[in-house]
Amino acid sequence: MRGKKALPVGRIDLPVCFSTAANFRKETLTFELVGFRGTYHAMIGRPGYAKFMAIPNYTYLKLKMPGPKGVITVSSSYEHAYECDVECVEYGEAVESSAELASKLEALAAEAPEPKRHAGSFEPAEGTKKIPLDSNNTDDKALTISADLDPK
Amino acid sequence: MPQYLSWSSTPITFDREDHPDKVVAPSVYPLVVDPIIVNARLSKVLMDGGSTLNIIYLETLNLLGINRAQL
Repeated sequence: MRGKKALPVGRIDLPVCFSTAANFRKETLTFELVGFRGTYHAMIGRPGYAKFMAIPNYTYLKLKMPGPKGVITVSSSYEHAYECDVECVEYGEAVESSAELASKLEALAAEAPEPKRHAGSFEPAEGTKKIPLDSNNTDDKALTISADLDPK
Repeated sequence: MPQYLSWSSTPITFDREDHPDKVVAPSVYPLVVDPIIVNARLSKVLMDGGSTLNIIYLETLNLLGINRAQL
């Protein structure tokens, strides 16, 4: 879904029930358990479709399956589908950008100079002296200047 | 003699009955359903026809109050 490598933590069998007021169907599905976060609670793939003999209609956003008292129709509102889609896309983008940021930081860390002195860092050059900005005031406001400047 | 699965005699059809008043941009939206899993109705379960797996998140199991130790 996000091109991210997903290592399942394990497998778990869970009872799943689709129901309407008068009819319901319950089957046990095997889920792959994953540790990362997602925007959905769960995702039912081909094994679930097969077990329930469920048929989706992606145009009407409906799912139908045979049940003990006839066909069970599960429908979803376009509004809810839209909200889920937006949430999923936003989350995907956030993951993408945080992954991008992490890899950038990693690259920067690799590029970073070793923490020892070298030319170009903001170290005072040799031969400087500190002169107070205000001679009446002995706070630490001072200028650092070259030691061999003429005292004008 | 073929062995029929228990639900195989039920035809499943879609017709005008299923047609909403207005179909909004077909194929754009995901099919999100709300089955009861274990003991709770989960409002955001994606029907993903392109996936070879059923997937559930650890977070959801925590929501359902299932311990990892119980696996």
